Amino acid sequence: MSKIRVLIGTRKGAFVASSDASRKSWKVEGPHFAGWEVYHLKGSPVDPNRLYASQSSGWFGQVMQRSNDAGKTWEAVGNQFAYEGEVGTHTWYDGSPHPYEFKRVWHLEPSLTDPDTVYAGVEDAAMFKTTDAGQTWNEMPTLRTQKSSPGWAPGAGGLCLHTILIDPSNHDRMYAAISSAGVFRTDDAGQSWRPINRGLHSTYIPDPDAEVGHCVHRIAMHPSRPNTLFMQKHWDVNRTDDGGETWHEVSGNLPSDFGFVIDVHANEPETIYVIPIQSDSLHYVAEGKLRVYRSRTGGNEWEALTKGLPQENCYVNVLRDAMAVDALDPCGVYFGTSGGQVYASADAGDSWDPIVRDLPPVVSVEVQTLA
Amino acid sequence: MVELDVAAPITQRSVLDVLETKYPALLGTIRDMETKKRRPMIRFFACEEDWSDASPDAGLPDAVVSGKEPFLIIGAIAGG
Repeated sequence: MSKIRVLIGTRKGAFVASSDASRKSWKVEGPHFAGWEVYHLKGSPVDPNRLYASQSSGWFGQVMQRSNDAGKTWEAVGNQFAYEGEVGTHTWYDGSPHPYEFKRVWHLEPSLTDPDTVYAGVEDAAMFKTTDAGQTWNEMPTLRTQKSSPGWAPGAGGLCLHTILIDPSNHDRMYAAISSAGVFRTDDAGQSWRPINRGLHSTYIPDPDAEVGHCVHRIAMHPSRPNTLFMQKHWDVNRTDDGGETWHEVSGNLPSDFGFVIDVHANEPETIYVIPIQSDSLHYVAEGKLRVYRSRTGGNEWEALTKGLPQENCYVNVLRDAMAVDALDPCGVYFGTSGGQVYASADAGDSWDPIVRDLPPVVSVEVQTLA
Repeated sequence: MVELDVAAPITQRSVLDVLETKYPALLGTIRDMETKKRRPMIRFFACEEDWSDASPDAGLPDAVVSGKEPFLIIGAIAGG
């Protein structure tokens, strides 16, 4: 019988929740790395017992952790993230040039074919890669050294490379999303990158239709449709059906099109989920109601999903890496909040139950479906 | 608490060199990996004195050298 493992990163440690395919009764283990921010932990699709975690703190900096036994035990691996070549500058909040400076690993994306290979998205925006299970990390410098990068400026959360997608039909093609620079694509395994932001419209930047400068919060892909990506941006939800060459808005009837998360139903490539929050200055759900919105049409037409979610006095946020889906049928959907709740739906969002309610603020949620 | 065998001269630098060699996971968590400067929110104490801003090459107190007193590496009491 299938099992589900939910990997939860929080501001004060990591937790692992496990259940069977019913997804009703959960065993929660942790905190691992107690007291540390765990921005992301994710498992290898090749070896589900192989997990990687980004552990950081303002005191001690960045530590990388690897588990070979599904999170029961961990060992610290390499934590040196040195920019390659000339470090260069990006634009600071005040418009001045500011040297690139490594702060933390935001996102880990294990290879689809090799458990020892992992891509890391970091702040200040760059992509690193390990091929020795985390012992050493080497920058893929062509992303950071694009001609537009001196003009990249940080969003409120920092100049972070927060999402990495690998095209399952062509592993040489990858997407990287950076706040607040936009989306970039490589078609040659990272030897070269180019911005793919045409069609995005952001009224808060000097040129609303600029080639770079859009604050992309998250992108998501269904593996059966690698040319179709969905995007939650700093205001508005967008989609592309040509690998990012062009984007168009699909916010439709959302009550607010500001948010961080977006994800795709495992079995229905045109069914997508977002969790709107009130605004760019009010980072919590509107009207005190925690509502997940689902579109079964790939955007534009959205329905609120509320069964089992608090509909009064709830003022939480859901951060960009804090939603995931499993691979079962019916599809399970999971998300974690700034209030420390992690919710699960075993019926594609029709109803929700808490896995756990009182964790530290949740930063990331990933799900493994185990045979 | 760990015990280290450190060859003279026994200084912040030599102690941390041995510590990081013996425990590689600590690399970058106490000192910047490249510059070897103390991380801003890490503090050093010895014999009830703050050694955070002392020269990393200054000799540590005799009591630390003899093992009678520890060399303390502490996260600053700050932040959340």
